[in-house]
Amino acid sequence: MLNGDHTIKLFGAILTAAGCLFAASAWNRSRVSRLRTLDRLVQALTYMEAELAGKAAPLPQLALRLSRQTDGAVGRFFAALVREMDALGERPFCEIWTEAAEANLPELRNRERDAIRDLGASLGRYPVGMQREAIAVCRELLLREINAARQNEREESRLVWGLSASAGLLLWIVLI
Amino acid sequence: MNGYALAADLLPEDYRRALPPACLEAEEIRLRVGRSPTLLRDGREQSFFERSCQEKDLLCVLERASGASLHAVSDALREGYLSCRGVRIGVCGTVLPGGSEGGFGSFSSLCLRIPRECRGIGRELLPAVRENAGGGTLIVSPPGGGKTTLLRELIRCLSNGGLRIGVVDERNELSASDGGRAGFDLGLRSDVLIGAGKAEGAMLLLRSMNPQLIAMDEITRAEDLEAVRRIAGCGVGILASAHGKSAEEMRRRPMYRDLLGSGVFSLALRIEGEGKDRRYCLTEITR
Repeated sequence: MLNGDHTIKLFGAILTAAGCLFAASAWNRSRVSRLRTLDRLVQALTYMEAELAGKAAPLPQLALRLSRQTDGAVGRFFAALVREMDALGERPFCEIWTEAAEANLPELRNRERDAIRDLGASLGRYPVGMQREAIAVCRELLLREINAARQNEREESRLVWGLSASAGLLLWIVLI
Repeated sequence: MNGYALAADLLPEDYRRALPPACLEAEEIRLRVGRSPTLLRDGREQSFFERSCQEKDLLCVLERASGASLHAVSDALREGYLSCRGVRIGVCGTVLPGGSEGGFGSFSSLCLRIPRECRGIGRELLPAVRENAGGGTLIVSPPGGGKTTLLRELIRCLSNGGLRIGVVDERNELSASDGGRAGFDLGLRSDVLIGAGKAEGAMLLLRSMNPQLIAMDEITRAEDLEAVRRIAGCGVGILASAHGKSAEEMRRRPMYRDLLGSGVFSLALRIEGEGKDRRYCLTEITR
């Protein structure tokens, strides 16, 4: 039979171990979500490039279509862009683009954020050929980031789960 | 439609607020980098705000006019302008190397031409123009002389008077349409084709709309003149405008010499003077 003191210790140890596992799980979820966002951004950029090349489609139309056909953070990013385009004339497009990206794509790392910002400075302003080049540069960088993230996925995952399990176990032993 | 309000709506907010309200005689708003913005009225340019323009201001105007999509108006931009609901924005700056795609690396000046609807102008000209409807009438004036405004009014009156008119509105300046709805009244029997080049548009109208008269603004390129020649051979009247001081002066320019000598146009409408002092002179064009 466990006395009250032991019960509290056991309960604390279980909670601590669960907390460590939860932290590992949260980290994993954010990694998966970031990868999904990057994937969708790459798809959106591919679509934009094709529409620019084929029809020289205006950006408000493109943003509207992408806000409807894309889920998650990227869809919210394009929806914010559509909303904020009413402010064209008061604020430059590149500013609107950057603000929408910062507000809706918080999972991006600095390098990815810089690439998206640089793309916003070219979109709509220059001839189609130059815009396509800017899109291609941004997409290349995002694809490199996706590949790097996927290559490190297994190792990082093992490391985080291992560290969390060890920390949980250690605390369990100390508390028991 | 209030062209002044439309042009003002394209400006940054502080400029918009500084503009004199409802200035009906205003003809142009000009923005130049490093200079104060100006308003052209009664033939004089006057500054209306102290803050000098920055390139950012010019870019904001262009982005508002094009929906941040200058690439979508690159054909017009290649000609040095873009149109937004009847407001023609002339553009100056540095053209990108190999600028065949119509791209500007930077912008230095913008000129917003304010479209106007002046009902009743040229009323005294109408009988002669109507009588000549089966032939060709050419409106002639230097840039900014009011050719487009007069052409618009003549189209409206002739159309309301019973003529079926096909309008080739390459820059969307004559009708200032927005979403298929004309901003300016071009009459009851006008069919407006927007965005097509004059040669292509005129032939399209001939084939599809059975017009009695085809109207087009500013025939300036060799292909525009060729379009006029082709229409003239099809038994349809022409009402067009062109830059020049007079038909006689235009004859000295090689591009127009053959056209005016061919008898396609038999009537010239010359616009003289500026602002409220505009006068219209009607002359016959002899071969």
